Amino acid sequence: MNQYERRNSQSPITTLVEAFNRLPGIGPKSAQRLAYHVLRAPEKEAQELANSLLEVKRSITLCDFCQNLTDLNPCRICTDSKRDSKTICVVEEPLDVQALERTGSYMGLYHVLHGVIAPSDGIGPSDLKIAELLKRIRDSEVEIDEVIVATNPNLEGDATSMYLARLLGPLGINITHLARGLPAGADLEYADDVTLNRALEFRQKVLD
Amino acid sequence: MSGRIPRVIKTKAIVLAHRRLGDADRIVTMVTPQQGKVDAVAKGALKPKSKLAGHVEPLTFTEVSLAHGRTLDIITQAQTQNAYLPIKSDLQKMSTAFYLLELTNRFLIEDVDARQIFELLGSSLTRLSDGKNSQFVTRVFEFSLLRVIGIKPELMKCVITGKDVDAEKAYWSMVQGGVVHVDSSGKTFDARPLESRVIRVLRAIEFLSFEEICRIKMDSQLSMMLENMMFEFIQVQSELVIKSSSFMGEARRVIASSGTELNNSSRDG
Repeated sequence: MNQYERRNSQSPITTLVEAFNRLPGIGPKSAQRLAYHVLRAPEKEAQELANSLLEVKRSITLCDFCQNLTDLNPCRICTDSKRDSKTICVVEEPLDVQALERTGSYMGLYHVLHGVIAPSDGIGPSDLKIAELLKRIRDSEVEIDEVIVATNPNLEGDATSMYLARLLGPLGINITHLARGLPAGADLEYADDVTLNRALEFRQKVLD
Repeated sequence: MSGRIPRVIKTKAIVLAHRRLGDADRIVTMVTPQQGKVDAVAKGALKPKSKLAGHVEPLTFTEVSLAHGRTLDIITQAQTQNAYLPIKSDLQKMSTAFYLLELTNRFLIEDVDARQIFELLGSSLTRLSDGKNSQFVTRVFEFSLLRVIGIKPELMKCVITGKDVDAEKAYWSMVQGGVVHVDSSGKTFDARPLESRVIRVLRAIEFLSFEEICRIKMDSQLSMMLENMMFEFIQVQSELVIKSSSFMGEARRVIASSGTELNNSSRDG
């Protein structure tokens, strides 16, 4: 029996469980729980879930400017006239944009790379939205003053950060990255050399 | 009935790679002297306040305590021995390090004594960190690794007939795995003439000390010929594609196009 015949011969519940199981972080038990929840829920709720899944796939696209996921193109951030259009914060994933927006303290624009340089996984600069970043900087109507590289503070994030600095440096733009160091609540005793080194390097005057 | 008693071992390790496990954990791949390649779980490593995370980052020489788990070992403690900071703040060195880590990761297997490979990787990363010529560090690493795993190129005797090969008249076969005597060049489909300076440098890499190798004068053209040749040799002999090899070239290109010095205000990291 092939996969098509097998799927057609199995119950819709099994099909639904398998569908949930394919989602990241959802194991067989969680998939079963979700499937039975949908089964017991009112039909309206199931219909809304089905519609929202299809709607996301149909209506969400990448913003032409910042490459973030959006239902409007260009996205709401890129078209917001109150934002600082001379500053671009480069992040790895759309979720990073949400994290930074939650702080309420960043008012510039974003650029989403959709990944990070990971040579061992075969992911190089051409696999990310780096060409799009270069193009938007060159074509920008306003002169870009600063690019903040907000990649994760790990080996791949640092490689991406340094690559971008080399790529964008000749354009005369100020390239910065987020401060590194000890997270709030951390214990100095357990901090690693890289973290301590960076915390010392980027130390700040004590304000009172 | 007694259950399995957890076994905790302490070992030095060089972290080769990591990947996500669920929302908060990572699986860390390491090379250790006695156990060879080890995959272990670093619980909570994705959380900002993790005590483990920085000590089990790839490209870190660390000392770990491993507790025996049901499927994977669990890292209970870790302490950095060498974070190779000079590599992590230099794009070219970092691209070289990625390549060395991937080569080690792809050729190592689990549960096999890997003392030689562990020492080789450690010394190569230290040399890179100390500012030694990255081309020489890489070529010596490749050659030594291939020797340990038994597929090093044959540089002295013809791979077909066993005759001594004169560097001035050498041919090369990727498939046969080394030099081919000019008289036997028609006996293998992929034999191609080899520049004498290439074979001389490769022989130096095989037989001389690292300090002596570093005194060799090598222009960029010869450097690239050797690099491309070794990439191809490894790929043909091992049937593996080493994905990080292409990033070394990309890093080199972007550094060359940016100039060697960056403005301080735009310097990263």
